[in-house]
Amino acid sequence: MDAELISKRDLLELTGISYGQLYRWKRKNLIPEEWFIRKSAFTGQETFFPRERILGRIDRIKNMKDDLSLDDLANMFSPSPTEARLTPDEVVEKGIASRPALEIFLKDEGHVESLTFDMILSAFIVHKALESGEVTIDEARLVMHTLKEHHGRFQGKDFTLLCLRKQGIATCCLASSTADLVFEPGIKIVSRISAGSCTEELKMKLS
Amino acid sequence: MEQSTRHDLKIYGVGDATGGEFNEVSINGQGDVNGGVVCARFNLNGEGTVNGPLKAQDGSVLGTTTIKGALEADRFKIFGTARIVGDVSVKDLDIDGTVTVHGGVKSDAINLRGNTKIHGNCTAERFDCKGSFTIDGLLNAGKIDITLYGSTKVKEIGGETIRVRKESGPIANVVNAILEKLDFKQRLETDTIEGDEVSLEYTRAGTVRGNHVRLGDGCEIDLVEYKGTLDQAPGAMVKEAKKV
Repeated sequence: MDAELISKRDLLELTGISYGQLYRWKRKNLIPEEWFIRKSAFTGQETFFPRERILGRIDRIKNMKDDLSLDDLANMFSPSPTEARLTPDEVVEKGIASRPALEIFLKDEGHVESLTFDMILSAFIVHKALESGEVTIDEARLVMHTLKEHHGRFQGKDFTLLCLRKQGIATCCLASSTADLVFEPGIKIVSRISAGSCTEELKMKLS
Repeated sequence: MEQSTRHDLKIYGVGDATGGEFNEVSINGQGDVNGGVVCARFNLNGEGTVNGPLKAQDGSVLGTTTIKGALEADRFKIFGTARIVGDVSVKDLDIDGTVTVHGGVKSDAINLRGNTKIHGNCTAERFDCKGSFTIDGLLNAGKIDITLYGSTKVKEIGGETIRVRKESGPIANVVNAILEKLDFKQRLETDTIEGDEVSLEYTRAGTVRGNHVRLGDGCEIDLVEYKGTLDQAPGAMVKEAKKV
């Protein structure tokens, strides 16, 4: 992904954490292995991280580590689904998805008594797409459908949803978080949503 | 799964058995188990192969073993020779002998003596070694204490407190001097060491980064970056040192 990167050195300086802490959090799976990106710099091999994600993650760890054990934190950050189940009304009441977003999900799925985590996540992602204002209802339906069809592929792993438009025609794709995607200039990326970030956010909303 | 419905598997002399779920597995002599094993206790005295993964609460090997799969246990001791064709996930790991792991090692506490080879990464809270080892990946452990016996290679090391030294004492000093003369280099070789408190001897590294860094005799470091203090002994060669 063409996300901005930050070097390990700059990261430690910016966040004030030490090497020991960084390695400890890596051991405890609080920072995923995929975020450690090796690149050749003029000083040799250096390690980089996706800037926004690592800064956000470290911020959360620092804020929560006094209240939760490292293992609890690891559970919160893992892309694996939790046992939570909610009714459609609860999903709206908890502010997870707006009514229109949920309607799109239910129209596709049919009537559902209680939604599993994966379903709630799909509704949440659709909600985020709509909320951005960049995605239309029809495009959101397309997103919903794509998520349903292919969600299983990325089980346990992070992926990114991209909504694309060219010449007024909309499409979307799901890409693994480690993929480098390059599009031809005619394509406009209308929305980019990380499933991993949504999972994290959703777990916090549910806890 | 109630323990009472599981049987024991005991081999005395030479024998083969089918894998499965057991209470206690005990091989005295030479035994091969065809298939994976899940058990409470695993004891091997002699020579044995498990043709599949081994999962136990407690285990010990006194002799030679090959485990053709992952090794998972709360406590596992190996005295002798072992080859594990898979990942090792053992909370309390005690090795004294020659062990090769064709995978990674994940542990709470690792105690190594002898000669260990790990093809993947090694992760632990405590890593104690009095011996030599080769780790092809990253050694990531909270507290690392390495007493060098022979040549040790690790791709990279990261942790909180990292200490690398040679055994010292009247006899050890004599032995070390003889080994050096015979060109048996007792060194730790690695690309990068990063930690909070780093104390090194007889280490050859590309880069060392830490808060407080102590470099003793026999160190050959290309670049040291330290946040707090750098204590460099006269016998330590450092190409470049930077306070960051």
